[in-house]
Amino acid sequence: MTHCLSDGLVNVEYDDEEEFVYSEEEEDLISSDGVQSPDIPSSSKLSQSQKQANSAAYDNIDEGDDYFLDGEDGPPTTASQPANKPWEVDFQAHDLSELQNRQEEMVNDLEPLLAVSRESTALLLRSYEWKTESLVEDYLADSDKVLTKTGVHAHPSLPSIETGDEDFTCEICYCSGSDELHMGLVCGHRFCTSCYETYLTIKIQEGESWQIPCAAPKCKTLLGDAPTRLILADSKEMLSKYESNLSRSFVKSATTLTWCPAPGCEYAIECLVPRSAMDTTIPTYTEDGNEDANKSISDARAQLERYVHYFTRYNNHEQSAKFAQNLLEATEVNMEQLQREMTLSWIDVVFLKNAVDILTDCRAALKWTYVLGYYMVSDNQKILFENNQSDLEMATEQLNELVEDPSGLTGIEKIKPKILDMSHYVKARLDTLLTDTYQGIQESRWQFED
Amino acid sequence: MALKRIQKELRDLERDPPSSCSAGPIGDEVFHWQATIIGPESSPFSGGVFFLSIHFPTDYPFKPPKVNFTTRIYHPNINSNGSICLDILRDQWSPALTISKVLLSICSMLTDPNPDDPLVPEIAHIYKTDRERYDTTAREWTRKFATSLLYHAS
Repeated sequence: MTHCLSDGLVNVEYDDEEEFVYSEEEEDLISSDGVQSPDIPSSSKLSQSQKQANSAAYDNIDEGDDYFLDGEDGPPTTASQPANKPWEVDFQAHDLSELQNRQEEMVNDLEPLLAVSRESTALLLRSYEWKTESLVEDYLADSDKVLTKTGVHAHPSLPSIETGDEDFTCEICYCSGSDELHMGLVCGHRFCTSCYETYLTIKIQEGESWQIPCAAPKCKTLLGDAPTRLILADSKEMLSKYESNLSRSFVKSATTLTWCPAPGCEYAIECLVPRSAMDTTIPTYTEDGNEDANKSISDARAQLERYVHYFTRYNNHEQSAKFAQNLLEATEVNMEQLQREMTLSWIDVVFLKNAVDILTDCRAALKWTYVLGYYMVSDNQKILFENNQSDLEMATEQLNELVEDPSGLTGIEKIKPKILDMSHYVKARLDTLLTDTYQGIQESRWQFED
Repeated sequence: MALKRIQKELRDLERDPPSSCSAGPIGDEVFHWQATIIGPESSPFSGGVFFLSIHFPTDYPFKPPKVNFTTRIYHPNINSNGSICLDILRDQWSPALTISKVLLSICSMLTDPNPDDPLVPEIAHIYKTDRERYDTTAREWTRKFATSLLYHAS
């Protein structure tokens, strides 16, 4: 999962198994989860395999041999070492079912304290953005006020779908008579089930979940979970969208959770760095090349060129990172081929995959150094930073060549030490650069342009 | 669904028309209506006739209709394009609301503007600080833009 966050300068690793502890329950979830969780689109293949790798690594603490027989997943991306680098942060990744469990636990904890139904506890918590303390404080001070404000009833009787009322008329579609199936909440407003279904479908497609009110004008009564599921019972697709919206709103309000920034990845990341810090570590990246229309043309041109200089390099590394993914697949083929042809074991060829993983990390870090560089004020500190940057860049390119060159594979005895040496060197350069960057920011050693 | 519901609303409007407004489709276009509101007696819009256009979305009544003034009007919650800032036309819309109820809400908004959530802050400021000037200007605009029926109907 390293790749997930290495896009930012808050670089995160979980090298050390000790640091990355699953509770038993979570472990079960992952292994029983099997190969493909239904909510994960195929585009997140990388994170899937990383997750599998991780789960494999964990399983293997007890049953060492399987680890290597397991083959394809491979070991964790980098060799085991203490995760005590200043720029590394412990984190956990949660999938949708873990998020749901977490929400249920919080509801369970609070239910006896508030003495309202479980359903209502959940709605109150969501209305308070899961801020348990302020909810309890407000609720104990004036429970009626909290209930009115949030549109929650303390003990709503579970609504059922009814028929047989001659006087019923749906205020939405004007169907009427004793044959019409309809449902009403505690507020007494009744609508036919097919209107309720359309109403819910549209709201859920707009991204809403728990905050959908009764369909009557100005009625604030929240529909709640059970009635929503009752109405959507026949629509599996909408139900799963509803559940994913629920989790989305949960992650949005929880301060320690954020979505993995990799495109298409549906894991939520939890770490001790508050989300605000993760959003602001890097200066905002804007295309401000044209803003200086009032300045002289040459000024504007110089600025545009400067921008293009940094952007091109940023972009190059981004593109290279994408190629690295292809490289990884090609390398895996090469590794299998080597194993067959030279009768080598997995452990003899794994250095190739490690090298590619290091390359990927370097690309991600280098990409962002250009954003940082663009905003840095030119001084001696920046020159030092750029020296570090170009050292890493050069080493990365050399390693890239070595790994990419297929002719090298014939003489594995010769090429292996070279790649190993280079991998170690590059890793050390990356550590130096990231540590220095972290310290530089901590010590306010650098000055940034506005 | 949308069509059935719009036709039902039209029948209800014909059977039991509200006192101060009217509405109906433009030609054969069922999803595009024109409405009129007669300026309420107790407001500076009294004596004026205001035209509005109504567009129904295909998922009406689950999405609100788009309602705009086509007659110029001096009001803190209605801008020069005729856009109306009214909660029930946005996030407070309910599928159980009807065009008739929306028009009545607009009527009551003409009598009681909501200067705390303005669409035109300048008019809201004048409404709050110099009510006499607001009334005068609103009456003048009503006379100028909303009384020549022939001109606007064309």
